[in-house]
Amino acid sequence: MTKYAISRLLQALLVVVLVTLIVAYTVRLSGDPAVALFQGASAPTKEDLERIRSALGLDRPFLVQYLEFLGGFFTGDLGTSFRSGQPVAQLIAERLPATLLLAVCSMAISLLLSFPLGVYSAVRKGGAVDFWIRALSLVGLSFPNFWLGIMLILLFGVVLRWLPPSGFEGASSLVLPSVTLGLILTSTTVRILRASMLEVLRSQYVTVARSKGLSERVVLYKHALRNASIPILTFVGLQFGGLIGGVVIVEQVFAWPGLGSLALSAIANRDYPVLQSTVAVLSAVVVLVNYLIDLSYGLIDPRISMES
Amino acid sequence: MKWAVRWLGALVLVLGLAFAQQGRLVIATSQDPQSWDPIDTFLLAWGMVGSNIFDGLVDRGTDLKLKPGLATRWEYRDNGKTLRFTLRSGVRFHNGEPFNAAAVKFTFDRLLGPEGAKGPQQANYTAIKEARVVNNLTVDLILERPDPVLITKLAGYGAKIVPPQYIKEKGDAFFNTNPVGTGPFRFVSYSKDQQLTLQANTTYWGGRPRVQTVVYRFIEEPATRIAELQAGRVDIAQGVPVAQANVVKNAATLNLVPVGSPTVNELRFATDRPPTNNPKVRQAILYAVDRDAIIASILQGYGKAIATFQTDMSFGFDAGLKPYPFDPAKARALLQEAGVAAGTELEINFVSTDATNREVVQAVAGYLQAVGFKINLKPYEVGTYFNDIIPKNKNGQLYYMGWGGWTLDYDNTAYLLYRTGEFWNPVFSDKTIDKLLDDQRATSDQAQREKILQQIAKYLYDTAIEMPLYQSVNLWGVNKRVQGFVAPADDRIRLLTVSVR
Amino acid sequence: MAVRPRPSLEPAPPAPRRGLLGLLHQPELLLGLALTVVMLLSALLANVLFPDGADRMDLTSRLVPPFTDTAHIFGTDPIGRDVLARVVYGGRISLIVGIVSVVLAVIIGVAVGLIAGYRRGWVDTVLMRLVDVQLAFPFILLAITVIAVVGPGLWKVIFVMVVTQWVQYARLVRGQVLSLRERDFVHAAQALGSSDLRVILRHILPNLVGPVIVLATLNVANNILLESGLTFLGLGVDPLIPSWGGMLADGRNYLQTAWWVAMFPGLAITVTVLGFNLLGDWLRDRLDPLGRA
Repeated sequence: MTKYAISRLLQALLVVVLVTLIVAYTVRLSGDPAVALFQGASAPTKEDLERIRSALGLDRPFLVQYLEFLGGFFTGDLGTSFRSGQPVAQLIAERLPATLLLAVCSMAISLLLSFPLGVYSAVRKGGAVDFWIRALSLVGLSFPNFWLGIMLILLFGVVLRWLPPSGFEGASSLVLPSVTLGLILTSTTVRILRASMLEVLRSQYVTVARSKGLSERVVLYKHALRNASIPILTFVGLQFGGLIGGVVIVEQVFAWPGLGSLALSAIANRDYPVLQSTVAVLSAVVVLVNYLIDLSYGLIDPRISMES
Repeated sequence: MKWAVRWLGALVLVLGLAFAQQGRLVIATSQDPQSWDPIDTFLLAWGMVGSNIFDGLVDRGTDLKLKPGLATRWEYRDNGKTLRFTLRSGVRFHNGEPFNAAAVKFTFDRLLGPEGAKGPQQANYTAIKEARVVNNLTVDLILERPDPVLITKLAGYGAKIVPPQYIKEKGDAFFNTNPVGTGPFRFVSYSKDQQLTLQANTTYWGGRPRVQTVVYRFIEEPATRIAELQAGRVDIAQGVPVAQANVVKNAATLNLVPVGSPTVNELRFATDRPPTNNPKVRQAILYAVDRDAIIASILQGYGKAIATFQTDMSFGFDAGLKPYPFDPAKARALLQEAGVAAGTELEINFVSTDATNREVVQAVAGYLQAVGFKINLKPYEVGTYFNDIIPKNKNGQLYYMGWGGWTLDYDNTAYLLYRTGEFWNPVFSDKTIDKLLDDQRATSDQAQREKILQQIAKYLYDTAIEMPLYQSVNLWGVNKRVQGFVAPADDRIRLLTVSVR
Repeated sequence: MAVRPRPSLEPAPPAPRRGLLGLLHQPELLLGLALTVVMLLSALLANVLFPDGADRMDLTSRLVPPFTDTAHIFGTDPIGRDVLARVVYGGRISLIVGIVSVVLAVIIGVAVGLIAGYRRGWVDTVLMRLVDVQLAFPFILLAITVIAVVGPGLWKVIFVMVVTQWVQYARLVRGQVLSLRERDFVHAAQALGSSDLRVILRHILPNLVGPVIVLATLNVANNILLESGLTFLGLGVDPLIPSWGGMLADGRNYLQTAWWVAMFPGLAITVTVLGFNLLGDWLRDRLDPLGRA
């Protein structure tokens, strides 16, 4: 178990390193941070640009720049932003909680909605309620997150004025963005949950449990749900990666000060130190979540061995 | 009893006044400049905030007229080689240190030295050799060469006066996120991409501000910005998209404030490749597009037609030049003359994050399709577009260009856009234009300069080097509880005289 | 569909009827089929329905509300183009984006998943770490970086989707293969001397179809929306080529004044998503040889 955990951790680290390598390389293929600093408002001469590039350390070979970043990353020195001169570590420390908060809340909303709906839908497969749950979940899949976000802003922020339309001013600001993401996640989670439940409900041990005369309630919650939770957990892990990606747009709509909007502005400004570190942290979060989920399989179902 | 009423009245009045000064004003802007050091930025978004924290020697009012700032007067000496400033006395920075000639010298040493070299502003002030302290309240700027628009530039961001002691003690990086100036508002706090808070500088040399606290919120998505304005949580919103103009205009609690800006928009031709290397084709394209109709419909009148790439605020403007009229028959004739077959492809590049531009280029494409072109529109992300596509000449035959024109002098536009080899001019090269541009820079005779600048504009107009689209009209959404807000043409809002009810 | 409530928690027995008559007894299938056919046909016949194309603009009749003008039943957009024509033509692009990206991602993902799961060993480890890299990569950031480098365009958008999504199928398939290859019928086939390829194609692949179809039908919708998100961020395709996603993104400034600009393309996506998924559910039930639900 420990050996497996360590080897998976090392592999996870390798994954994060590879992700940052790809980002650091691709972002350098187009655009120039020195030009970006001019913001299109003046005409830099070649000397101006050379001067800024060398001040930013961009005149060195790519590998040197990358290794320096990597070395800094593992020793906690993420460098400073090209644009603001602020330490990147500080920027990320300010932003990471906002993104995690949003991600966790939307995940929670999604799971709280999906479990009852998905289980009910599976148990009443083929019924009218099942049909409507599935149909409505599909409607939820048909509008993009920014559209849903703006509609919620207009309804709850402007017309009803129940909630702040945007910003980061405590719990009330959290509601609209996490409901936006949560509703969209629910659409897929309900369907996956229903499918997993159906599969389990048809399996032999459920039949056996039933034949032993156990009540439907016990069969359902003790046996079926527990066994359905492994594919669901895997899916949640997968979804988490997508969620972190989707957060970028939702943060933009709600002016939510998270890592997604930080990365977006870093791309526009070609602020390499900020972009590289943000992507590294975001992917580390995704990798970590999947890693924890892998480990939790053993806790949920002791039969799963941990030798890879 | 009467006595009591009178006292009560006075009390109410006093309370009312106190309340007026305790007001809180919330402004939503679309962009966080991320650095508050005046030498690090060119962004209009900086000016919206920076103009209230800092002062320059020279100031420019909301009417775009130059007026004394921290200098009370200035004069050229030694045949224009020295510019002498007399400074305002008794002014202090927000941290208490005095403003004097040493601070001016420090500011220019910093701007022209290695710290300035890291930022974009330095390039604008290279005409200055150095600043010399004459006495505590007199400073000379020694000039390397004449610069006709130097005084205007001194009202710009780079020449805002900064506190020497503070920067020496705290360092440049700290100053970046904790700016200190002499302006009407002092910096309180800043969180990146969220908000910045200012507080009234009650000892401001130009008078006492009427609001106590100003909060700038950075909200990039326009739909959200307008929603916040509608919800009453934002008092002033910058950059109302034309599409939402009527939403603001029709709201009972809001005013829509349009203001003509020096920013101009155009589609520029790539003059190095067919078919736009042919002046006849370029003229045909100008005749083919009904720019007035685009302004009237898509921009809903919030834009002004332009004949050349400048506004009537610009020095060198020639009222005699009129935009090419909409004449599709003439366009077809010219295209036939030039031997351009129907179905010839044109690629148009643009930045697609601006929803209005996105609609404008689609309308232009529609008109060009009508005269037989096949149009490919290529939207780009803003960073790629201005860092890569335009300067490296990776663009198509037409590409979108916007130009701030903040010096209000056509030289700044024309030299940077049409002089051979300039950064924003990867391909166009014309000896006549180069010579004219150099000539007007060599003279300090303003009448002569104006004549040459008009000549340049005329030449570019005749050879149809570009398709000027429109002068931007910026739309501000303002809550009716805000008093005294003037929408500035150059986006540098001044909050000194703004109050809230 | 029977609307009567089911008192027991017993799962419903699968509908056994076949043939045309059976179709009538499966309203979900019927609905799915009808919606899909309508969307596919209108996209295919776009130039028959609207021979003038979808980019005829008229600045004098912009933002005409729907159902007020017989020439523009769904109204017009901010440039004075017919919304209905654009929705119909937009179906072509959106369906191409949705279907092509999914088909390509399925082909690559299933192949990788089969190899990794069947071979195991170092091939598996390497391929799965590659999958992890991809899964850890925030999609939008990858899309922005890639499109910033290679420039905008329909096929580049599809490319980004394929690059980011094949891993989902690879992971799904690998997991299934790992369990299937230990099943008796696979061992039996191997013992009888079937080649690896034959075992994979005849015995393993058919058992993977169900879950892959569920994921694929979800992703068709997902990708149509991703294109919309890219347009929202300014990375979409040529706005002259109508797409539902692009129309939705362009309509966001008109939600308060001209709802129809974004509503009709949104409804078109809903109809397509419903159609594809209802059809996908039915196909899965039919094609799953192990009879799993």
